Amino acid sequence: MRVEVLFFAQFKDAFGSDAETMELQDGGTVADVVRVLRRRESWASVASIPLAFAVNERMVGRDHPLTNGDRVALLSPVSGG
Amino acid sequence: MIVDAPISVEDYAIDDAGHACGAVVTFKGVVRAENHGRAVTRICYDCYREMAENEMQQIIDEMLSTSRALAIRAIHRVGNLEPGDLALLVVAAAGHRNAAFDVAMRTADEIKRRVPIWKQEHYADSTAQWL
Repeated sequence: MRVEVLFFAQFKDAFGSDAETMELQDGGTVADVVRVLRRRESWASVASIPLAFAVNERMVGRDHPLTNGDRVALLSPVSGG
Repeated sequence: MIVDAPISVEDYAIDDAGHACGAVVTFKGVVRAENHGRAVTRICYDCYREMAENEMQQIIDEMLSTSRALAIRAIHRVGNLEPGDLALLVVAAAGHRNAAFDVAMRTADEIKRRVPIWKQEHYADSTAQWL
């Protein structure tokens, strides 16, 4: 299946993009998305940032199951205002 | 509401809260030229727009249902802002000033705590950092 991974703030800087399409095996979860990203050299610059996740604009945990076409957002601690 | 363009306070004034309205508080969050002793030249705000819009509306709905506010408006600007620019506007109307001040404060607090918006400060020495 294919999911769209959304990057913001530090993650956008680290991966040089605000989104990418990722191929996962059927039955994959949010944790699998993180596993793929962790293999990249650029992960080192964001490895210490606490992460939360949203799928299709709803907050979820790492074990949330994904389906084809889902939008997975990596959310670092917010700092608006 | 999330906007890219400069915020005009007049556009979001509350003047239709009805006869029960006795107080309107306007909070303006403005970009400072200094933070922790460092000269700030600009702030770049990034956001997850769809979630940010939904979360801001959720906060307003929660405030209206748990306070004596009669009306609330909240607008956050994103993109590149310079010192003096208005980043966050909260307007709250209530019957009395205590309730209006309280709900304006709590709305701003919740926006800063929950809405997926991130700021990157840029400094006079050409460095930058996400906060």
